[in-house]
Amino acid sequence: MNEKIIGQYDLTPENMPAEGSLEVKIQPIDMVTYWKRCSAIADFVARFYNVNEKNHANENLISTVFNEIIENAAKYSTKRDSEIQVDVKLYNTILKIQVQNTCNKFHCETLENRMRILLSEDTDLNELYIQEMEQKANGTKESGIGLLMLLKDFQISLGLKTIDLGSDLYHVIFQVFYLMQEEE
Amino acid sequence: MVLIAGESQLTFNNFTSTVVFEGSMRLANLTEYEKVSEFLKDSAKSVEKNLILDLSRLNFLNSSGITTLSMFIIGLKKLQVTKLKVIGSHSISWQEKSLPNFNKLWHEVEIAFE
Repeated sequence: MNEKIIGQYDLTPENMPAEGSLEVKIQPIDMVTYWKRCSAIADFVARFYNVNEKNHANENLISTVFNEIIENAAKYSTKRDSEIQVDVKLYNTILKIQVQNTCNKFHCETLENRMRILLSEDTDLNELYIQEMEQKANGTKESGIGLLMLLKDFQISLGLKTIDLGSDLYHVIFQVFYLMQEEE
Repeated sequence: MVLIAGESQLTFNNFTSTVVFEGSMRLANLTEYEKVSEFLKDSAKSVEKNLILDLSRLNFLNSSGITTLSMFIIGLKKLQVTKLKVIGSHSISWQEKSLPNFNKLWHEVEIAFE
């Protein structure tokens, strides 16, 4: 079985006890047919982990980060007979969001290549943002900027593991590590 | 002039030359954002010189929405006719992270936080 790991995968060890844990299983077809569900789950996860009712900074940021990740999973997953598994765990001030899904070779390789570019030491993310926006304005670039935006502007680390299952099917495990903002 | 886009509403006030965004704007892709893009272009055509985008009541905007606003700003930059001010809110965290990017696309965009 061919596996690839890119970025800070398993930044928090799997056997490390978490202070909070939430698991959700959803079907990609349910998300793409009723897009509002992406937002609904993002807002639910964010509210679940917002422990300070007077400070909504983390809630807004967690929802924003989570929404981008779940939108990507919904868009690029195989749509039939598949599921997206979401595991969210809190380790002190680090929130780990793990999303597992299956996709085809094209989408898997596109994600791998995107991650390599975004995480390369040679990449200036601010320059890349300007460059890609100008390309989009000229109609010469089609891919999204969600991951670039998260990595550039939010305090996150990203990790990716892909597993070739054969028959043009890939298991994708995407991890986001979000550093919770200090409460005021 | 009012546009409903998903769970958000855009209102253009001709007297104040302001487009007010309210709610949560998380449409699925750039095709769905085309109506927002057209609304912004029409608003820009309606003002003499200055346009204000008031985002201070917009709780969420996804990356496709950020892309739509970014492309609108690049379009204004090319035309060099309309000056743009973007108003955000310190109490909505994503705005503090993302709105300063607009100024990187065009240095003449004024970003103000309430």
